[in-house]
Amino acid sequence: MKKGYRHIMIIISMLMLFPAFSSAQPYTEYELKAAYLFNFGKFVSWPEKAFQKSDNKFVIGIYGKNPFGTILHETVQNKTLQNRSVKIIICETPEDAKLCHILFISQVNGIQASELMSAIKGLPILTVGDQIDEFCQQGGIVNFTPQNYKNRFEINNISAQMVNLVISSKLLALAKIISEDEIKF
Amino acid sequence: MRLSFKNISIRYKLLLIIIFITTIALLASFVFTLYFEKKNYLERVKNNMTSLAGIIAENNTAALIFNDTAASNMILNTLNHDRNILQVVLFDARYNVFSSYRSDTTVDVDKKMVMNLRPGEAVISGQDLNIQVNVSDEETTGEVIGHLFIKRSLEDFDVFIERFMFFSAIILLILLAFTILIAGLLQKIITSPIVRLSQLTNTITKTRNYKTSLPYHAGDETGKLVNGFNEMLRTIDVQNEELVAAREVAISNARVKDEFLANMSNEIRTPLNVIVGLSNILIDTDLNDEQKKYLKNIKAASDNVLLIINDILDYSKISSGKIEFERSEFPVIEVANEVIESHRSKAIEKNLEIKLFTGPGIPGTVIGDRLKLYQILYNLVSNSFKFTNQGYIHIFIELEKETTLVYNLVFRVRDTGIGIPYEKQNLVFESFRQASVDTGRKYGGTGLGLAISRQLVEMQGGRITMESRPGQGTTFIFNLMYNKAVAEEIKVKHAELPVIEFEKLSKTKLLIFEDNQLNIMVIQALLKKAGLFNVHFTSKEEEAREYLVNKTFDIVLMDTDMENADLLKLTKFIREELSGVKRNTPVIAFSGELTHEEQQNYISSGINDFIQKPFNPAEMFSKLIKYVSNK
Repeated sequence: MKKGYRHIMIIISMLMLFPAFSSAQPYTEYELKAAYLFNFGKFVSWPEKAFQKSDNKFVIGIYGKNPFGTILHETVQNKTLQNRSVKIIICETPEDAKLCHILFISQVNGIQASELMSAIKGLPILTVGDQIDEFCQQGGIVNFTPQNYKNRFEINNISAQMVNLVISSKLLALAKIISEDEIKF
Repeated sequence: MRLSFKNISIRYKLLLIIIFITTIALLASFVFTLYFEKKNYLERVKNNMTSLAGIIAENNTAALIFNDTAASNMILNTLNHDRNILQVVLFDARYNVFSSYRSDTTVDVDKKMVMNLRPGEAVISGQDLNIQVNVSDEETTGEVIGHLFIKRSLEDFDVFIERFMFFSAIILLILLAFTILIAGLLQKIITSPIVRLSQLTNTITKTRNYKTSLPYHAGDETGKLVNGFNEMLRTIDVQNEELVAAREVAISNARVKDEFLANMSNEIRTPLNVIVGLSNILIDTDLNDEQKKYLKNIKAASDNVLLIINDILDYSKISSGKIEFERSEFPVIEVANEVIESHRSKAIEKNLEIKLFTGPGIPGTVIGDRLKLYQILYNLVSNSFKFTNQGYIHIFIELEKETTLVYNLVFRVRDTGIGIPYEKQNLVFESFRQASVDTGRKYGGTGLGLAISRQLVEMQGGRITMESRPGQGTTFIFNLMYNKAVAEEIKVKHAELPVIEFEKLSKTKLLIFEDNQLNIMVIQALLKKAGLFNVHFTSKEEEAREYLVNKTFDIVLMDTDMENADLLKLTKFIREELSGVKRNTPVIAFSGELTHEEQQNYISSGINDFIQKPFNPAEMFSKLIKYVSNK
């Protein structure tokens, strides 16, 4: 009940403040998304062993088409996440994706997606979908929502918990949470 | 009595003091409590605000990072349950307002003020508390990504104060009531002995009974006070008893002294009467000149002794308050003349003029005590004679004032004697005092005459004063008030009356009942001189009765102080058991000086008149003539 009330409050306040927010927006969509992607790293904790394979680096992977160009590189430049330097990789195969801590998935078809998902199944990887339909319902963890949505992104916390990722409640508070009923896998 | 702290009872003093102390203590404790509460409150509020600001800042990191104003607003809005929080503003790193919550929307944010606040430090400004905390990035680098400002009202403490005051007042009242109750019960411990002491003091003051004490034993000051008081009572009681005993002894001593004086005087007077009486008789017998001279000296000496004894008797009577004043009609001028006459021979002897001067309006008779006036004048004149060797002694009588009922007469006795020095003048009226120690040796006298005169004047409501200058004589002045006689007629009685009527007396039959041989001798001599020979003497009651039954007497004379017989019994016999004219035989008693009451007693027992001892021939004969001619 309390949770539901909180959702309504979020929706109402969003409705009230959204126009002001968007009009004051000087950034492009992918500049924003790059920042979001980076900042997700601040509000999620990974199990310690997840950094053993990656030479103790924080790896953000882009799977599928890279919509950022150099924006993402610029965003993370000279920055750290989880006290580790950040490395951007472009993943060609699902196998490449296994090294990532955050995996940005953009413009992939259903087959590619399920291939990828089964490849990284059980690994502590924060999967972020770039406005992929039913991404969270299919087992993805974070999914950007279309621009006029009330929330910028949605989160499937159950999937996160299954791979030992702990998402900060602060981040959860900003997201649309996919409920258990909506999960389809 | 004015109502002040000093005058109220100790009970209330104690109560007031206790109430005062309780109130002060409670107020002090309230003030301290309030002070520490305030300190505590501010600290608590500061801590609360610091941690609250920290929590809010922490919770806003995501919102700031993801630029989600709505979410931030919502987080800030969670503070709306705390009405004391006036304003919450979240700034970004550059102090642009990111989100805000205002419970009072009219208050605008003073950015400068916020920027000046040191992060994490709560600052009180007026009735508000301001705090600013930095919002740090999630990363351990701790990059400042925003600033959170909270303004909290401190008015809730005022509410607390109001409530505190209210309850404090109630507590104060309850405690005071309780204190008064307890103090009211406990003050008795202190006041009860004091109250009892005060009550006992009152009782003692009223009853004058010192034979009491307060049973209270304690080692404190009150106990000591009570002990001291009891000790004091015992001392007073012992002293009282001693004083009472001493007083009784003194009174009885004084009485014994008076009795002794009176007895001695009487004892001396009786033989003196004989000396005087027989001298009087002896002087008329056939004596040669030398014998006559000796006899005169004997008579003068015994007269003097008699005077002195009379003075002493009078004085003891006056000092014991036994003196009484008669109220009968008498001629004032005649009394003065009698005094002059009694001093005539002395005046001739000393070659002094003695004379009476009377002012206008002097009444013929007044009502009062004749004898006392005689005594006063006699004493003053005698006194003047003592101290005057040449010149005169004058008596003046003047009417000072006359009202419808009373004459106020002024008497003066003026002499040309040695006078009295001014500083001694107020001493001469005192008993046993004379102007100089050797006065008594030089001039004689007991020193009682003036004292008696003063007492007699003052006891009759008059005043006696004196004017004197050494070498120029003395004037004694006194005034007396006399009632007016009802019928004012001048009765001039001639002093030599008895001589003329001796013939009338010669046939009088007398029965004289007397057991004192000396008295019998004097009476016999006096009667013989007057030519009375029909006289029967008896000293036995039985014999007296026989005489009375068998013979008829014109007058019966009896002594009041017989050793073996009672004149009252015989008087009763005459009045009740004799018959006819005998029953009315006049009875005259020979008596000492009698009080008015004693006289009345005798008169009601049937005695007609009295002849005073020592026997004055003139008095005796005039009394006898009175009852003979009444027949």
